[in-house]
Amino acid sequence: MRSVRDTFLHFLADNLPGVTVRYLRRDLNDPSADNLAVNALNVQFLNVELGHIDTHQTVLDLIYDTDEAALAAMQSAWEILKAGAYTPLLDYTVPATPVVVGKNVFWDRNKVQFRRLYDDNHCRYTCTLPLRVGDN
Amino acid sequence: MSKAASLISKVDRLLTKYNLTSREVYKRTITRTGGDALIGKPAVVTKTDVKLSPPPSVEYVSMRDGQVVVGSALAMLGDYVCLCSPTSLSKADLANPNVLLVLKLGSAEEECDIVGYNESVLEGQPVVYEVLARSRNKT
Repeated sequence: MRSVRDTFLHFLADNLPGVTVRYLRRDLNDPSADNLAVNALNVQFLNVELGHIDTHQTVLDLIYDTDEAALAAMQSAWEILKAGAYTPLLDYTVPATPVVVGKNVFWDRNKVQFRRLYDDNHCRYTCTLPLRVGDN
Repeated sequence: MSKAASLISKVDRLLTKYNLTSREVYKRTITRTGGDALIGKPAVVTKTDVKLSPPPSVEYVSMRDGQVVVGSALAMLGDYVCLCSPTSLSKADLANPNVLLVLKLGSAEEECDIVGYNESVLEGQPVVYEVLARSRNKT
């Protein structure tokens, strides 16, 4: 399960130059890791359904100071999610040398939808994206 | 000595004299180096504890307090309101997300996030901080 998160975070960060990708989580070694960041793509993992095909509910929150920056980041994110519908699952137990697991993380690229959320101070778009893991 | 420095010195003396907490209070600074920050796997995590001197006053927020606001943060039941001297905590510490307050009693410790603070200022210098601390972990 951990490798699904690590893989998707790296997929986003490695393919979105200029966009700060932030992993929202509870972490005793990083007290502010559960706070939403501005001018960043915040990624949060919610429910996990395990079965023949595992499903990991994922929320992408783009929060920016300006509409222009938010739109640019949203377009970049949308383009990489639309361009490919999967990425190979990698095991990041040793982060410097990720290992191919032999499965894919995939998503429905026709159902990528960023919704505008009202915010007094920032421009915010959110996308709920179920990630699925199956065999190659 | 300026009026502000004199007042800070008095605050320090009073906090030391009356020692308004039953637990020892530490400032914990967390640093992470190496590894992969993106996925939350640092190679090395260092936690440095420095005992606050003078000790701050520590008061539990309870039902009878009603609504308590510190800085822009609304206190919740179970939060702690601490009066801290600028001798022991700086403004940079209060704004640093990697600085926590830790309340220690024997081997038990409680980590608290700093969720808000007010400062009382004299001659442009903070003379006392009111800090709202929220428990995040008990061991």
